[in-house]
Amino acid sequence: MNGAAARSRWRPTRAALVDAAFLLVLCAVALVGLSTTFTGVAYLVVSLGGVAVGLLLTGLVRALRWPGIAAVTVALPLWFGLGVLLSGDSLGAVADQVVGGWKQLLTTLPPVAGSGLVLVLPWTLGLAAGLLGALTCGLRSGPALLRSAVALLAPVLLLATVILLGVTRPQSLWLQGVVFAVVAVGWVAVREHRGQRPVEGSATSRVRRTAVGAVLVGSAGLLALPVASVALGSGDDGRVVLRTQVQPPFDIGQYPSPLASFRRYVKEPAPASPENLYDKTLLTLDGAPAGSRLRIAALDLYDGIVWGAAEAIDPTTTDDAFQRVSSTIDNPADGERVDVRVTVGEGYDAAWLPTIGALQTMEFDEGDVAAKQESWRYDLASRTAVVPTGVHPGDVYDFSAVRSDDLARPTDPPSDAVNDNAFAASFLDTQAVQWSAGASEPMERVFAIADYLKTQGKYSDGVLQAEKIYHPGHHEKRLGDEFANTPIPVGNDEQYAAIMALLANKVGVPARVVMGAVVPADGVVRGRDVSAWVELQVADGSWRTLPTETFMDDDRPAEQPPVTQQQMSGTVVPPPAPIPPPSTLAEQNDDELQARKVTRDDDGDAPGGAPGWWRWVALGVGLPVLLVGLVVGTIVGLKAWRRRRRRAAARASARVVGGWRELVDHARDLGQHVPVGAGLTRRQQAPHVATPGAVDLARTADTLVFGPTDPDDAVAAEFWAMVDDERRAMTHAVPARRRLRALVALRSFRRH
Amino acid sequence: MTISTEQAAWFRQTFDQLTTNIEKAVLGKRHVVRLALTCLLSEGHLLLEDFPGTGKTMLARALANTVQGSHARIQFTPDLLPFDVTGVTVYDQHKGTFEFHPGPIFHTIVLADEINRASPKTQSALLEVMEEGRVTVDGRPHAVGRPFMVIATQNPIEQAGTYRLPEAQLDRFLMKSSVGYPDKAATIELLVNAKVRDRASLVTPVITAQTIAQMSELADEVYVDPAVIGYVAELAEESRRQPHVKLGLSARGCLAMIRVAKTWAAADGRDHVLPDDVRSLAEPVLCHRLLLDAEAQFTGVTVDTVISRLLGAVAPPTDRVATV
Repeated sequence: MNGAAARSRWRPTRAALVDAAFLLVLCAVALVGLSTTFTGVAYLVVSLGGVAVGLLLTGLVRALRWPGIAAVTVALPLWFGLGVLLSGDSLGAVADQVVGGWKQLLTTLPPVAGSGLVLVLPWTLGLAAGLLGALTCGLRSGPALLRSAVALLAPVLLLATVILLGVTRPQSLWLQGVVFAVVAVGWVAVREHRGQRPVEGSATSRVRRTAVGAVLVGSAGLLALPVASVALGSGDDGRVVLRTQVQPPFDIGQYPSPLASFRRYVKEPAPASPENLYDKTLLTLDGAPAGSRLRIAALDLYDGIVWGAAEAIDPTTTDDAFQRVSSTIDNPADGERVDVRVTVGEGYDAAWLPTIGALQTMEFDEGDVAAKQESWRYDLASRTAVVPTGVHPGDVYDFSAVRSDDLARPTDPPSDAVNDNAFAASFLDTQAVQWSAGASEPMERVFAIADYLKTQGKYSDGVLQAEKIYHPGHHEKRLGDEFANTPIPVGNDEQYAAIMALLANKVGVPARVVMGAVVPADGVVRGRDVSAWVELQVADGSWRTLPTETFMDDDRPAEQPPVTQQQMSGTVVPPPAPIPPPSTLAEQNDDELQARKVTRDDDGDAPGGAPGWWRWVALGVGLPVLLVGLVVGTIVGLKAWRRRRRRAAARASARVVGGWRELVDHARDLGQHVPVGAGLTRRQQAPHVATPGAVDLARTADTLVFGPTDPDDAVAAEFWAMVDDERRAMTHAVPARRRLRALVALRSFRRH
Repeated sequence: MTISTEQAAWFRQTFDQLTTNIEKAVLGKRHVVRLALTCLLSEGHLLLEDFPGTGKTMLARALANTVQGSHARIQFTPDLLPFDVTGVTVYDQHKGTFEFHPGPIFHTIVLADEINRASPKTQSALLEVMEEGRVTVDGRPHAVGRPFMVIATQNPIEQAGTYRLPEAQLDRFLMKSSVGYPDKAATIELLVNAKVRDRASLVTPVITAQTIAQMSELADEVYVDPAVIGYVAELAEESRRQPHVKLGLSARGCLAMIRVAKTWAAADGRDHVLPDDVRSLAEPVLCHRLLLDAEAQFTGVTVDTVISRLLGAVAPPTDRVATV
């Protein structure tokens, strides 16, 4: 090769530059559709950068005369590298994001902050579109119009993806659709014009073509209006997007802690507020023995503000997760079996599904039965259930369960499991020591603390005029400054259970708060019956109940405010802290979701798990290998499918035709320059197939196909045997490296 | 009934023998010779158009000499009259009757040299005999016998004093071809043997007229798959849609294509026609049947361009037509 030829190989042609420009513009128009999904313009810059990188890579691979698949292979490490740079995060996080980030994006209320790890998504979109677009632009065979249509594949797919990832009511819908359509038609026209033969390049025909082109573009613009209206959706319901179809991942943390709204169940002086449930019927239980503990929610994670429900808190079991279950649950337990029918009363409307003991079976009888049966979840570790669609007044359900309300005793050996709650209770260090003075063993200290609270503490719901200084809530300030650090701790079930569980964790006994009710004799659970108690985990991993009355007395405080409160007279009493848990997923912001997810991931790396670097290596090496394997497998599979289809065609003559094509395709994959196209016959191709038997095979195929008699199955099979022999001969005639390249070569997919 | 494999092999062998025989006179022009023989065995007529001195007449004479039959040469001039070609009825005073004196057209192979120099009236005298194989003089038909072939030549550059052949006349020629200049090797051989003044005389008859007729009948039996017939029909339709084409391929042109393709296939020893045969013969069969408009000349579009586009636009069949 001389120097000029080498230089020209590296210099892109004018046509290639024009194609790249059109592709970039179309991708930009498509990506603008994500402006309502991401904040800022960083996403647009990153995604367009991806398109440009894809185009450059493909151009580079073409200049080096490598197969097109090489662009994809080279793009993988580049994708990882730039992905890490863009996100400022680790390799593993980038890999995680491209797998799970899409769903996270779709289940987060837009707009999502366009920075950090989330940028991996537009980067991936842009790079994929750039690679696909550049590869399809370079097709040389097939009718010109079809080639132009294929070249449009990448931007159209990108547009479709953007629409699916977008929101139902995007901005500039019409403008985007019309601009995209006009640019796309313009590109097709340019490519068509380029495909015209120079012999027709007279002034007359040029003017005519220009006029026809102008009419075409104008018509496309006019057509694009209704098309954009229909295809992109402009009706009242908005367009179809994945956001409305994808179910958010189940997250028990999204449900508000019922303990935070405990004051709804206390007796208010008349007139009570409409929200007050003290006298309202929550549930009517038929079959539940009196005194049974009805479990509404088990709250096992304290975050400094509220006791909430969480998964994977209990390290002694893998069952600590709200899983979908059928009507029968494999939940072995010792105790009395009870069959209960529950009718939900007017006072209960929540996602938590009240049950008793260890649940064995569950049947929903009334109230959107199918949906409930389909979606309800049960946590074996906390023995609580939720129905994401909610439990509403009028619902009826039956369950059977095993009652095993074992009470905790001071002699029970505690579990040695450690969780975050112990650290969350650090503001109670002093109390943990002072209130358990004299006791040495953890369980004994728990009972000592309970005894202290019961004897020293006073009960108040904080609703009476004189008691309104006792605020609701169980955040650190309420439990510390307004409860533990006062001469007389005052509160109700909410504060007592919360601080009792925290102190138990602090002294080394894993504890959680359970909110529920003790079933009265008539089986009708009203608001007044609702209480909160504590459960302690013992050495065998089971949980024992520490009843409310163990750590809370019902003595009322004195009429006069406590001394500390008197000293505070004249100061502004801070309002009760708002209840932080969001009522719906939409109220959460993406940062919170990210943070929560990161916390969970960190939890997953608990002692005993694989070391972090090993995971990175596995992701960094395994994922690219997996992707390359996937690509190679897809190509090899497609070729095998094509060969099988040709060999098994319905008619024998079609099998013969397919046999010849298989030979030609194999030759092309091996790098031979065999001309293909609709205008070529087998005899024209045969001299270009570098195998001695090719000409004879072409003649044989022609005779079998166009001869006076139809070929039969045996003849077709014999022909294929000859084709297989020639293919083998061709394969063995080339070095192993070329054979491997032939295996993944895509050239034969450019059609005959 | 289809031609058998053995018959096809014999056909090929004889065809090759005839080709080799004629090549004694026409050096290095095997393809043109095969086209001319194909025309003869398809019972058609050949129009040779080329520059002076390229061997048109030599080819025609050699073709005539290789067949054991009569042949004649008519030098067309502007003053040539129709009856100089067809013959004339003369009154016999002894017998008291009119007698028909056959003209030079009544031979197995007739060489119509520089046909475009004759007047249209004389040219049209050839119309009937070329299409129907008979001449009607004074209301009485006279058959010219079988085989019968007209090989006409014309010069493309000398336009003065010539009469362009009308489309109807052109359509009656099965093929139009050109001989072209010999290559260097052929030219050297020609010069080395310059003492041979008349190379056509080197060609001796190797086949009888009856055998020619027999081969023509065999060629008719070659199988043509419906897919190939469909291909020819599509070419004809597309030829009428091509830009700058005023007159596309006629039905007679399609029939000619099939007929020629059959002979071409038999000459290759095959009992069936391939799309390749049609493509190989497209230019000689179509070039004089396509009439371009005036704008074509200004835009540089030639008949060859149109044929090339035509073959590019219509994909040849790759599979036979499925039978139910």
